[in-house]
Amino acid sequence: MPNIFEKAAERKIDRDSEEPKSSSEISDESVIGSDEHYAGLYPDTRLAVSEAIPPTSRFFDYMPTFAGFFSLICGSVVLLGWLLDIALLKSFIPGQLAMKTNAAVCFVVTGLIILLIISKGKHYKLPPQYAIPAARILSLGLLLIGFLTLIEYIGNIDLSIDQLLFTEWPIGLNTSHPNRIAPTTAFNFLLIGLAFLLIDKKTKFLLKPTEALIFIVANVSFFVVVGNLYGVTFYRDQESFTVMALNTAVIYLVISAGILSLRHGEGIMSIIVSRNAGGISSRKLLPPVIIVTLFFGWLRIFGQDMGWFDIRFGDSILTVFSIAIMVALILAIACSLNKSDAEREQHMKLIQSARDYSENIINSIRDPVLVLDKNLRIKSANISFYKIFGIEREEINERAFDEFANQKWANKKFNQLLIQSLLPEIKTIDNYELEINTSNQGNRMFSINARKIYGAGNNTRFVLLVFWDITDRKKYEEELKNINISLEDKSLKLDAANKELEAFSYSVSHDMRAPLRSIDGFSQVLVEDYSASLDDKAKNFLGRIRAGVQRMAQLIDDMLMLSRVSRSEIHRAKVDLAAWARAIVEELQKQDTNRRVKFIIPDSMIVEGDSHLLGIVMENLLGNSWKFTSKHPEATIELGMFITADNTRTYFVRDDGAGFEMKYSHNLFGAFQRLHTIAEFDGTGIGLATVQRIIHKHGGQVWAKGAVEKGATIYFTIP
Amino acid sequence: MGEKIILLVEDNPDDELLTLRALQQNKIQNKVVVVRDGAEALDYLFGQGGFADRDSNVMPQVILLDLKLPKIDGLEVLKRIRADERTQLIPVVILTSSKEEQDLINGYKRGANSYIRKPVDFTQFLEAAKQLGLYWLLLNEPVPIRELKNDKQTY
Repeated sequence: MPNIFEKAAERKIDRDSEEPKSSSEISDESVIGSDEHYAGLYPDTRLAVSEAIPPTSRFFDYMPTFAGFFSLICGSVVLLGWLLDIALLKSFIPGQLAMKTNAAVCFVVTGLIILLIISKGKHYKLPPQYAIPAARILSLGLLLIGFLTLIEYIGNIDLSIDQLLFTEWPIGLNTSHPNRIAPTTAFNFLLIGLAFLLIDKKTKFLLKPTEALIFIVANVSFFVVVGNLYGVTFYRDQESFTVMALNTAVIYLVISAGILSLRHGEGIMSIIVSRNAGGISSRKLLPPVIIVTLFFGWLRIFGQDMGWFDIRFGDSILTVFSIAIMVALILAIACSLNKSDAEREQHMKLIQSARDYSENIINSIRDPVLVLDKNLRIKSANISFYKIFGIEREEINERAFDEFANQKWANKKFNQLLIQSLLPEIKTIDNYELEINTSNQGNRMFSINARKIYGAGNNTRFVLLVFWDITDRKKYEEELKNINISLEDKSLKLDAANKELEAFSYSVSHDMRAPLRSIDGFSQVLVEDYSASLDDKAKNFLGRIRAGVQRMAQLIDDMLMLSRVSRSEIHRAKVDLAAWARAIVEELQKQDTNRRVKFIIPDSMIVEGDSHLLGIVMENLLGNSWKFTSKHPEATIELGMFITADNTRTYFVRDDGAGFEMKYSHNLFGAFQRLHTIAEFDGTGIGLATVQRIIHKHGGQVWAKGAVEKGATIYFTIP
Repeated sequence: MGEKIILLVEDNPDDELLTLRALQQNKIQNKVVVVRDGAEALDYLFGQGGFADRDSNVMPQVILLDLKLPKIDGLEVLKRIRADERTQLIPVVILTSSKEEQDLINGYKRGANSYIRKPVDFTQFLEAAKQLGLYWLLLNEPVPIRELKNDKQTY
């Protein structure tokens, strides 16, 4: 199979300069959907691509800041309480355990770390590049305090870190280690320190290490809170442990929420934050589930304590309520899922209609359209493509551009252009001309426009090819070119002919007169020098010779005039025919003062034309009238104008002279045609021919009416 | 000195004869030098070629110049006459058959003093020759030769 791309002429590659388009602009205009057969042209805004993490609520944005300040302030207040020895400040709640100094310091540090991470040092006059390292060092400190304290507990040793800042006085109740933080507290700080250090670590699962660690911290603290709520006794009589205080636990819970919210776009948090069904249901269901469960647990204990019911009854209530809550929860989730499914279905329908919409548009385009992926595999094509190139739809499916249809489309140059120029750089290729063999119409010339288009949301690139059949246009261009060439040729020939004519005229003017002069001159010389030997008859003959010569000279001059008129260019301006007429009449009347001729000439008669040429017209027409009325004792010559039905101005020169027979009127305007003998009226018969040429040059018409001895009227128009 | 020469540049012998006759009939007795082409005319004026032994201080009173001439045409001759300081002030009368507008314009542009179309009618031709002689040889005051010489010395 021979390569059908025989010709790849004249191609144009547009750089960005012509149509500056950033990649984002391109993707805005032509998004290829994730379903890759869909080229988005759909105007429905409901299908707008949503951002990956939509701003669901400012809650998660403000939470870390709040937690940071909360932790910082609580820690500081406790430290102040220690400094000033105010019991209330150390425990917040009267009768509760006082917070240990190390715990307070750790809360201050935790608050600082959170704020550092949020602000990246912005608000603390700390260069941003130091914020994160500072946070890391502080986190390491937290981890170390927690770790060392645990070592103290496990190894039963005193590393004298407990009372570095303050000596506990009076010594807390039931504690063997004054001012040492509780093991659970130490454990929590160990985890929190670790959580900060690992904050940006990810696993291959959704759950992040930080989230797992904070989950443990939160649960330990929550247990303390719930225990306090339900009145649990936390080993207060045990000697070796200090118990986590309620205030500490509450601060932990706030901190946990803050740390989790720090990176709410990632990990499990992204699910809670997400705008999808899972996010919505988790945000809606989690708070009531926790609160309701807590409430029923408390109700059961309270009921038992009040002696309303016994343990079994209480258990039953709790079980039933737990089941009820779970059922409600499951139903709520089911409801949410159903709703989301319905929405998705609706979206699928929208997408489907958008697809149909755009496919209909693309298929209605008469020019073949083809979409290739970045490896030049065919993604889709419109109906025109299949029809015009006679290719089956199944044939192209996912095949490489140059492979399908028996490598019919293999054109290395074009393919390389697409891969090397179009795809890596932002370029458009316009008017790349290829001759392609179509099954129906044989070889056709196509002009191809190629565009790089982007898939939605990612960096997938596609090539959009639009084929424009320019065979006919090429043909017309070629024909037009040939016509132009032949016109040019004709124009050259015309120029040459004109030049020749000019040379001829010049020669006529100059050379033909010379022999006439000789004939005339020497005839005269004969008469003068040989008068004695010439009889009257001979002298008469010589006179006839001289008259013939004069007439010949006149003919030559008239012919030259006619030729000059034909060759001259028209310079249009406003011309007053009446003014011309008056000037000419004045000259005529000077020639023969005895004649009684009445002239009727309007005051003015303005036309658009060449003044010089129209002057010749008036001269000839009035001259003719003057001549042909010369046998009448009285005559009237009129220049006039009337407007015909089709609003054309028709001018005329009328006389009441010799006139002519209408059946010979076709002879009037021919060059050297005469209706009268020389003996009757002299002239060469060039006058009306000249008039006709001038009027025709102006695009006008000229015609005559007359009758023998009733005069003649010559009409003309000048558009 | 004192002899008023007419230089007639004319290639047509008939015209030459008729012109001479016309001048004669009008009692114009001046010496008429006839040259038959443009090159000969320039040779005569500048005392070169066949006219090398001519006293080139003697210049014609008027030049009657035909336009259509062999070798060098009339307009070119006129151009060279006007380009040379020795001849630039000599009156030149174009005497030709042509009435073409272009010839008239070019003739006057190159410094012709007069343009006369040779009439076919010999009677008219005689009249024209009479007027011509009367005007250029009698009425018209030529540039004094001394001034011409002084003019030369300043260069």
